[in-house]
Amino acid sequence: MNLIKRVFVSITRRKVASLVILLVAFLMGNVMAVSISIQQSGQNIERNLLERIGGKIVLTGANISASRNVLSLDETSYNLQMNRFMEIYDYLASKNNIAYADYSLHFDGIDLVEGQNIELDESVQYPNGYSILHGIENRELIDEKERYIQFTNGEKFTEEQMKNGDNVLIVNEAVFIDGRPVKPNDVIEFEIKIEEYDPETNKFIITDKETFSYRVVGTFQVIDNKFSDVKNSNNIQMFYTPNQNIKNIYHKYSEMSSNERFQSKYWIDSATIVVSSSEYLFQLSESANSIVEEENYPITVTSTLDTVEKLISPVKSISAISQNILLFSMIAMTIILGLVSFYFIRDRKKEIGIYMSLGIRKSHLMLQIILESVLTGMAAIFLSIGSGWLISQQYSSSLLKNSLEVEESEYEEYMTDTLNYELLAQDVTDNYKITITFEDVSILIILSFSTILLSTAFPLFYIMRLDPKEILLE
Amino acid sequence: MSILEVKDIYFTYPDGDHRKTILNHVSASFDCGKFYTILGSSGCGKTTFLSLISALDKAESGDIYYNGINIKDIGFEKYRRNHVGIVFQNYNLITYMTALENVRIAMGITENDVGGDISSTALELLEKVGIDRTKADRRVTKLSGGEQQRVAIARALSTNADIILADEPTGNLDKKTGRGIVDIFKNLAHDLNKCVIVVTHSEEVARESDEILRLYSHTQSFNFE
Ligand SMILES: Nc1ncnc2c1ncn2[C@@H]1O[C@H](COP(=O)(O)OP(=O)(O)OP(=O)(O)O)[C@@H](O)[C@H]1O
Ligand SMILES: [Mg+2]
Repeated sequence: MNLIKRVFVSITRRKVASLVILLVAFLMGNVMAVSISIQQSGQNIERNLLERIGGKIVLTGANISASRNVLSLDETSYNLQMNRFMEIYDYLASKNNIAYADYSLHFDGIDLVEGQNIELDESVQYPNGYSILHGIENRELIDEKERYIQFTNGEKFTEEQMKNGDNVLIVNEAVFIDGRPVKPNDVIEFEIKIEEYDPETNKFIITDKETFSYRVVGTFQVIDNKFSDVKNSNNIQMFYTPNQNIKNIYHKYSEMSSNERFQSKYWIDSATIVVSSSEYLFQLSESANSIVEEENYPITVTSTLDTVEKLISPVKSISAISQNILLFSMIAMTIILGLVSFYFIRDRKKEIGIYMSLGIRKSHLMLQIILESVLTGMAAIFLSIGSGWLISQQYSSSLLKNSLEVEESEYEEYMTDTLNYELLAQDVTDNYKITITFEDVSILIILSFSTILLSTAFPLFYIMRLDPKEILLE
Repeated sequence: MSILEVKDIYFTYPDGDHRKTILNHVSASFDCGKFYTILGSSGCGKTTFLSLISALDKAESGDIYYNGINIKDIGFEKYRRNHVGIVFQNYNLITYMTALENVRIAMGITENDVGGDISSTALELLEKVGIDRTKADRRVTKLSGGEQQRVAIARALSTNADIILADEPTGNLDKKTGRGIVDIFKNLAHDLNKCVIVVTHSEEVARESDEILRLYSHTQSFNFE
């Protein structure tokens, strides 16, 4: 009877011992499987969420998004900041691996000429701080790329129109002209009014005024995308126009108005830069951060990487806990399995002595003991792959739900600016699927194998000290 | 040349803060084809002697030669594996295995040629010592003492070792069963040309042997008859 047969006979005949070891290994295997799958899922969710949200950084110039007259900055310093912001944007947006990027200029000194038969959707009128026109830097509409809107009719702006800042518009179909939805080649009139305060009448009086005709070149719909809500206020636009057009209008206004009586606001919304794959995000946000660090003017960089990290921090803490559980269960398993096998090997003292009297090689004897433990233990581990997976699904989703509820308030604070908490929290739960992957199973097998192997040190140590003469010749 | 030569063995056990001499320069030699018995009063060192020639323990001085080769040079494990079969008073069988499996275990460990079909060879051996097929497939715990001792003898034989050592193999058995076992040992020596060495308290058993060795505690050396 060779080694393998001896192992087989020993495992199958010594039923109590085998069952006890099987049970202990099975329990431990479940704990290990649960903690491994929780840990792995924590890593997957980070990848998945980033993939879902997209690798994106948002640059915000603290002053220039608030507008200079709110902060009462002088025009020169304000324009310096504007220009520097655009330079930084250009530099970052022209890097490799950028999918698309844009920023929006706004000026609220221009408005629709009254008396035109135009209806705007009440809920989305002047969505952006009372600036009706929404500038774009890229003729490829970023809002379309991000699937907030869908282009429906006509053309996008030409390079030429973008460069010259022509009076052209891409308009939301929710805008009605003469009782019908807007369509390409409609003309919409806008005007600049210069008002001056008259202390005698205590009223503003219009001192100058100019009208501009804008031609509609294309139309779009806001689409009912999950993420269309995410940046609600910024993205349900009425009128897109080239950024250059906003600049032109602003200059016109500056010429018409005197500096002291400058009432209207001209500003840049945050700039968005999206990488072609989330793997490049870290690099981009690194270079963005290193630039803005040296700036005289405050610019903040927000990255979806930070957002995702913040968002999944409860998942991370669950992962961290489960990592400790894993370590603890490995140590516990080594000791408990070791003691159990030690207990059973003591009962086999005589058997071991017989093998020795038959002149078995020490190495074969040790191998037999190791194989017995490993085969029984690993059988239990394989059983625990299935059950551990089931348990971890139950256990972790409830754990996650609790953590998300507890930390909800904290998110809301953080998230209001860039991303919508509730949707993303939903995304975390949606994406937090415990799936058993080949990798998980491999980790479980490798870790439990080493643990079981380590636990055989206890019986092996006992065997090494046995003296067959004492056992047999009594 | 004798198959087994014991030369000038000296052996002590710790006894309080001294050491108690058990075997005081003992020498003996054993040949194939002979059935030896070792007699001596209780505690005189018979089991100790057997443990040394079965390489389960090591003498403090003196040497043991198997076919002229020092067993230290062969290696104790290898010597046990290939050259001696040991039969114990309390049988020492693996309890969760059948009689056949107990025999096959030894055949799996030895490096000697044990014949082509291990299973049928083992069954033949068991048959020879009086264990039939149905008993061979029974757990050894369900066999009588005499039957278990037969299994132990079959196991000792199964490795084709030249030397069969037994420590009071009939000690736990009734007279009749004991006689059966002694007959087997006799046949092993005479028919199979084994060197059989049996430690016993029974003069009756000793009478069956070809040579009797008496171990005396006062001299701690053999007196051959
Ligand atoms: N491990 C030991 N440590 C100390 N003394 C021992 C040990 N084993 C045996 N002895 C002693 O050595 C002496 C010889 O023991 P041994 O077992 O060889 O006797 P024996 O001739 O086989 O006796 P019996 O006929 O009763 O089996 C005895 O006095 C015994 O007490
Ligand atoms: Mg004895």
